[in-house]
Parts: sequence; C-alpha cells; structure tokens
Amino acid sequence: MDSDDEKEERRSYNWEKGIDKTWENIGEDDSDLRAQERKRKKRSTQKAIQNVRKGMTRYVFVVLDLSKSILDKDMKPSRLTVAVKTVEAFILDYFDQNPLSQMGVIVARSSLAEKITELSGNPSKHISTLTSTSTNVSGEFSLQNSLEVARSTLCYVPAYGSREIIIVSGSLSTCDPGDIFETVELLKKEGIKVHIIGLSAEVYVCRAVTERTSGSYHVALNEPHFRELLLNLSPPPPSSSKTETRLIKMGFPQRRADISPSLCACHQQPKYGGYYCPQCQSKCCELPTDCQVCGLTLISSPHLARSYHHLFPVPYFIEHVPPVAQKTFGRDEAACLSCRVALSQAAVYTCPQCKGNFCTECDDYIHDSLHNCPGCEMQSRHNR
Amino acid sequence: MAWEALRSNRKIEADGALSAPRGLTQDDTSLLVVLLDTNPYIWSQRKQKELEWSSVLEHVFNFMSAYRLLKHENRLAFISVHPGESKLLYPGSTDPTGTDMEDIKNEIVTQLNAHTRNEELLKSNSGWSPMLSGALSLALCYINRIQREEPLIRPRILVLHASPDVSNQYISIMNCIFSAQKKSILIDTCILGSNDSPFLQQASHLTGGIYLKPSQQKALLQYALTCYLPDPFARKFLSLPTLTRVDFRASCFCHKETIDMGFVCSVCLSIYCGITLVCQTCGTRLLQMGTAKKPLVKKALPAAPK
Repeated sequence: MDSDDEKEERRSYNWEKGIDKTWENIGEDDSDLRAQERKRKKRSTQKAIQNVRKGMTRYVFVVLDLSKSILDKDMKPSRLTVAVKTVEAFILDYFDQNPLSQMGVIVARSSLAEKITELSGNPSKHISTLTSTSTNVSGEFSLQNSLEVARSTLCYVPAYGSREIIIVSGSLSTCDPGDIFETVELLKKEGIKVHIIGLSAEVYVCRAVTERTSGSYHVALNEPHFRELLLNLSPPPPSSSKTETRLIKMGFPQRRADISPSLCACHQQPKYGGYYCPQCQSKCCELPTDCQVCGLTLISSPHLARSYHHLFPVPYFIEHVPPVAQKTFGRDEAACLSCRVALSQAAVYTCPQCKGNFCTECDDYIHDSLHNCPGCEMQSRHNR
Repeated sequence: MAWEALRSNRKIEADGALSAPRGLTQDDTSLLVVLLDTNPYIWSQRKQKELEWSSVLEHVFNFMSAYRLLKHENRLAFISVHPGESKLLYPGSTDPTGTDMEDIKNEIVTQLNAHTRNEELLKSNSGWSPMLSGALSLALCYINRIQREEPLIRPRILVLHASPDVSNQYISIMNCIFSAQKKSILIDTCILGSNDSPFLQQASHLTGGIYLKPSQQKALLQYALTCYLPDPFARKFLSLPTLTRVDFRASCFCHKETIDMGFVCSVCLSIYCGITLVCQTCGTRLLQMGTAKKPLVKKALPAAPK
C-alpha cells in the first residue's frame, strides 16, 4: 500500500488525474482463496483425463445465436458484444491448442441458420467474418436448423476426427420446422457431440440434446463465468470409442520464394512465395490446409510439435505445506528449483518424478504454459 | 501461421494503448537472460580457428557490462548449460554482494568453477548432452517470476551454444519455444560450434530473434554488440542478419530421416516414413488407407512416457 500512497502524492491534485475507476482495482489478498479453490477443482478434473486418448484432430462448428434475445443487456454492455468478444477469444485459443483442427462458424437468426464460414484452419477469416456479420440481429433462434446445417457438413469430415458443435445461445425458446429428436438421433449416429452454453436460463430441450449426444450443457452466471465455460472447450477432448484410428498421409511442404509470381491453388491469385505440395507441386498460401488439387493434408512440423504437450503432459505436482524448519530441504532446496524464490509459508509443489520443489507461480506457469518440468529436463534424459 | 500474425498484431495494439499514458518511461527496462554452453567436452576440443573458452567468457562478460551500461535499471541473469545440470548462476540463491559488474563477474566465475569442477556430476553422466531444454525452462520460469514483480519489463534470452543438438530434447525445446512465443520473449542465438543447430534456428525464427553463426569467432564481441545489444525496438531501424531458410520438414520417428511426405498416427501424431500396422509410440492398431471402417482391436493408450 505504501507505494500506492506515494504515487498519489506525486500526482498532486484530484482534478489533474484521469478518471479513477476504483472498482477495477479491487483484488484479493495474498491468500486468494477463490483462485486456489478454482485451481484445485481444475486440477482434479484435468488429472482424471490426463492419460486418456484424446481427439487431436477436431472439426468444430460454433453456432452463435443472433436472435433478438441476444440484445438483452444483462451482460455489460450487451450480450451480443460479450458473446462476440468471447467467441473471438475462443477461436484464437482453439487454434492455439488444436493446430491440426478445423472450425466453421454458423449464425442463427430469423429462425434460420446460416453458415458464414466453411470448415477451415484460418482464425483471422473466422473472426473478420463474425465481426462483420454480427451487426445484423433479427427474429427467433432455431436449434434444429442450426444442428441440421452443422450436420450436413460434419457428416462428411474424415472419421478419425472428433466432430463437435458448440452453441452459444441467449434464447429461452426455439423455432423448429420439425421433430428435433429425429435430428438428435441422426447426430448421435454420426458421433457428433453437441455442447451448449446458455446465457439466460436452463432450457429442457438443450439439456436433452446435450445429454443424448454426450456433450455438455452449462448456463453462464456472468461474463467471466461465460468466458471460462467457453474456453474450457478449447483443449482437445477425450476421444470417443467411435472414432477410428488410422494412419493419415500428410505432406510437409517447404516455403519457397519465386523470382516471378505464380498463381496459388487456393485463391487463384498471383503470389511470389508459397508452400508447394510435395505430391502434386501445386502452390498454397498458408499452412495447415488440405491441398486443393490432390487433397493431401499439408502441415509443418511445428504444428505437430504444438500438440505434443497434450500427449506427453507434465505430471501433476504434489502440493504440501513445508515443515517449519526450512533446513530440512537441504542446501538449495529451500528455494524454488526454477525461479530461486525462497519457499516460505505458502504451499510447496513437488514433482513426483524429479522431487524438485516449486513455488505456486512456477507450478502454474509450468502446467499452463511451459509444459516442461525444469527439474526432470535437467536430470539426464539418457538414463530413461 | 495466420493466428500468430494476428496475435502479434493485437499485441502491438495493446502496447500502443499502454504506452500513451506512460510518456517518458516508454523505454522500459529490459531483462536479459544469458545461456552459456559450459560443456567441458566441447570446449576442450576447440579447433584452430575457433575461440577458446577463456576468451569466450571474456567476450561474454564485456557484452554483459555493455548491456548494463545501456540503462541503469537493466536486469541480468546468467544460466550455465552444463551436461547433467543447468544452473542459474546469477543472481544466485543468496543476495548478490553488489551490483557492480566486477562483483557479478566474480560471482559467476566462482560459481562456474565450483560447478564445472564437480567431478561427480561428470561421472554420473555417461553421455555428454548439455541440458539446453532444462536451461531454457529455467530461464522462462525465472522470467515469469520477474514479470510478476515488474509487469512492464521486456525480457529476452541470448543463447550461446556450441554443442550439437540432442534429438530427444526436441519436444521439450519446442514447448519452451511456444511458451516464449506466447509471452513474446525473443530468443537470440549465437552458434559457436562447427554445425548449425536446427532447434535454435526454429527458436529464433518463431520468436522473432536473431540467429547467427559468426564466421569470424575472434570478433564475437563485435557481433554481439551490433546484433544482440539493441532492443527489439531499435532493431527495426538496423539491418541485421536474417535467416533465409529454416527447415520445417519433419523427421520420422522410425528412422530419424527428414521427409517431406509421411504418415501420421491419428491418435498420438507420431510420424512414420512408411506404412505400419501398429503405432510404436502408443501401441494402437492402425487402419490402413481405404480399408474397412471398424478398427480391429481397441487398446487403451498406455501411460505417457514422462
């Protein structure tokens, strides 16, 4: 607090300051009970699925409800703004975590469903199309039409992929042309999972659809909760027993720059640089994609490497409170193994494999972003 | 990789929004983490034209003091990349005795001597692979900690490497690279050995750092002062060495050969150069292209190797 007071003094008069949003500075104290609780919950759920086979190639349709109900102002500034922003964040996070996967976006308005982007691996295209389309809001939401439009594309994707539909809906009603449970049966047969996040209240038909297709149904309490719910869907899910396992033929093209521009196969525009398909030598502009001419999946090795941490995860560290006498840790172990901060009263996390002790921050960072245990990395690998 | 470009664009926007009210404090303090290869096996077998260990150390210390002269608040960390154990030598676990460059130098040299003469460490390791992945992980954890204390600090990493790449560190090094990329930490690399390092080439390419293999090693300090000393902002105005070609082709898991077309297991993404019936990594029976839909046997994925 001292440093804050000093800053106040330096800035002199109140009227010289900008607008001070005091409510934004409210934080929790060091113990941060809520965050700890959230972390504990997250650990327990993730631990359960750590060694389960995962669907690494996903084909997902995001359905955004653009009926009149999305204009409600219970989320600030409006449900629409919050939903579009959060879906954008989800699209980026999805492609970060699933580099080999594809996604398409559907908007539902005027009792119709309209596919605004086809399945593709290009996040910027989805986001720009979504922001330009979301200005037009009208009519009712139709659950069955949305599911049918998504199904008509998803039933043709390769069988080794995991097929999902994620619906963000603010409506309490649905305007359907026929029996929705027939559609659900078809979805079930195709092995398509439906996840729904509601923005208003729980609706029976949504619950029924998600349960029958073994998806998940949640209702968001507020903006942060909605964000958490949606982003929880971005790590690859455990794959269902229906998905088949097979070898996929893939190409790893090189980027080449030419002296004169030549047409690319994807946009039919003259371009200087590009990736050349190793099978048919046609040119495409970006990776990952399917070759337009011969249909070969084209990727680069960093795309594959980005997925490996889902398959070889860092073991969860054991949390314990250190004994009072710090000396028992020995020479160096009184400090966190990676960042050298002194381990004090706060909880200590120990890696079950290398027995290194880590602080809370490093534990978070190692499991959320780094995906490497520094202690295990330093122990000679060739012994294993 | 379109989403990366998108993300970096957003970063710039966010930075721009932040920098306006900050005014004069715009040139933020930076944090430089130096990773020096201390593999005794490599340094004892230097060729005629290559730089000796003692002079490398001298050049690195001179570079570090030049970096500190740029701005008083600039922070420095030093990590040794040693076979068996990488270690944060500066700042050590104890409080530094002084912030004078001479003190820092003394502390690093004492620690380095104790560290490299540790015979047990050498004997316990039959192989001679320095733990680059461990050192990078350490550096990133340390940067994460400092960023928590000072959110505005601009971190970067400089790797001075002489040993060849170790293929089984591939996954962990790639994890480090992606994590650095997410936090927009530059990884600069300087190769002091005889061979190029594809891992570090990718590291510099993906994080936007500079990869350099000096042709005249005697002028290491000069290279370092011109290429690695300027901060990312100043680098925009300089014409610095760029990588013309980065090899992003994958190598197959079965023969470790670089291939431009291969087969990938849909479960664990292992790469094979030919058709196999059972995936060697995860043990799954694999369907062949154009065969019946039902898999023959369903096996659970065994526990991850880590």
